[in-house]
Amino acid sequence: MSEPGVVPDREGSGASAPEPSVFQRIGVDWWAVIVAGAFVLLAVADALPKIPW
Amino acid sequence: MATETTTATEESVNLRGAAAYLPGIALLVAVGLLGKYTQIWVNDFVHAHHWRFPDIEYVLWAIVFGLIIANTVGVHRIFKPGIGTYEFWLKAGIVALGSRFVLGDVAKLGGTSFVLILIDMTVAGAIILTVARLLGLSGKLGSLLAVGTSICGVSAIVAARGAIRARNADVGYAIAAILTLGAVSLFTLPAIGHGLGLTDHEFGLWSGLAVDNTAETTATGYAYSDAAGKLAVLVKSTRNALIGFVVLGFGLYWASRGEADTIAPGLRAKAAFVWAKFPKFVLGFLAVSALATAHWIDKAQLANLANLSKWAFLLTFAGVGLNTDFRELGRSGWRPLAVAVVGLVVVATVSLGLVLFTVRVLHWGVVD
Repeated sequence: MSEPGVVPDREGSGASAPEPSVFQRIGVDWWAVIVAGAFVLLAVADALPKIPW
Repeated sequence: MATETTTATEESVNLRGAAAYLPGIALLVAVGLLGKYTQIWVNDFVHAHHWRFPDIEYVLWAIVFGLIIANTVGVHRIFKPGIGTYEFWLKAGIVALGSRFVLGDVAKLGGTSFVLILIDMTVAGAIILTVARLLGLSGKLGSLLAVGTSICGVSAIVAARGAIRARNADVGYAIAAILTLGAVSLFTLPAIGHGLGLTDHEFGLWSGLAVDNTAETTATGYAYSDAAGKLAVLVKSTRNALIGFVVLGFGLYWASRGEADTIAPGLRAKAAFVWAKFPKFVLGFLAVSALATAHWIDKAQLANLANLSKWAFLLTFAGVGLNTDFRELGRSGWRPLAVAVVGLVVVATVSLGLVLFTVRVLHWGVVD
């Protein structure tokens, strides 16, 4: 669950894989926490607009 | 000047990189919305004509449309990067869902789940390894299927790949089997649950324990009801938190047989290994749950976060369907599939028995 990158690599990675970008280094788990956390902070500040379903 | 040029090039590459995700994300939105509105349209049509037809949740419609596209016309490669973001939407949705739980319930349900997971994992893992050996599969493919089926799905397999030095073909097959069987279980488990008259609580616990991959677990729970979906996510997150320990165990086993590198020598390194495999979004879920418990988020905003979580899950469900290609299973013969099917049936049966015993007999973890 904490593997970097957005999706698991199905076929394995080669030895000469390019250096990962900042986005990949942070990993999908932390990105999820950062993005959802930003919305949660807006909710705490009562600044999140109404989200319908 | 040279630096400026380099920076401009890097920015352009990053922009192209970000833009590469847009077609796939647009497809996720389109399939998700189609699923959501199909439920409404079908229900309106059925009521208008006084027909008897089961109320099929948007979750299943979104997955069905995704499956139809992926297994008929196929998904063009320009959509692949964006479709791959479904794991991000899933985890962001889980973090936001933390606002719907107070920490006391998380501790109570998480504690119950923990005990059930340990029993389930031991019994199901042993049976899967035995069946794999009887059918003559390689020990490592058996280990991967045991890790994936009894514990945590694709992420556990990916995490275990390096630790037990598994072959890429085995990894690819184990992932295909887990994803396909997950898609099968999200149609069968709700039907069985309704047939057995399970409560939302019982079904949420069951799907959290029995379904292998987090996206499919969430979909299975929400296909039953919102309450079952919430609980399924909590139980599955507890399961995910154990990935590091289980992978470490399998890694140590294969290293002791001289068939994998010795991983993480020393206690400190082992702790670092477990932390590296720990699903960090669970920390986000707990932090948001703590904010809700402390009443830092008012009722209207809690409703907003719940809806935000449902939108994120909608994109996930579309991605589950679009990412499942049944044809991948045909490439490795029937034996690994048989082990995976046995694994699914064993895990589902053992966990259902555990849930019914602990909830109906022992009254564990029941939150009013």
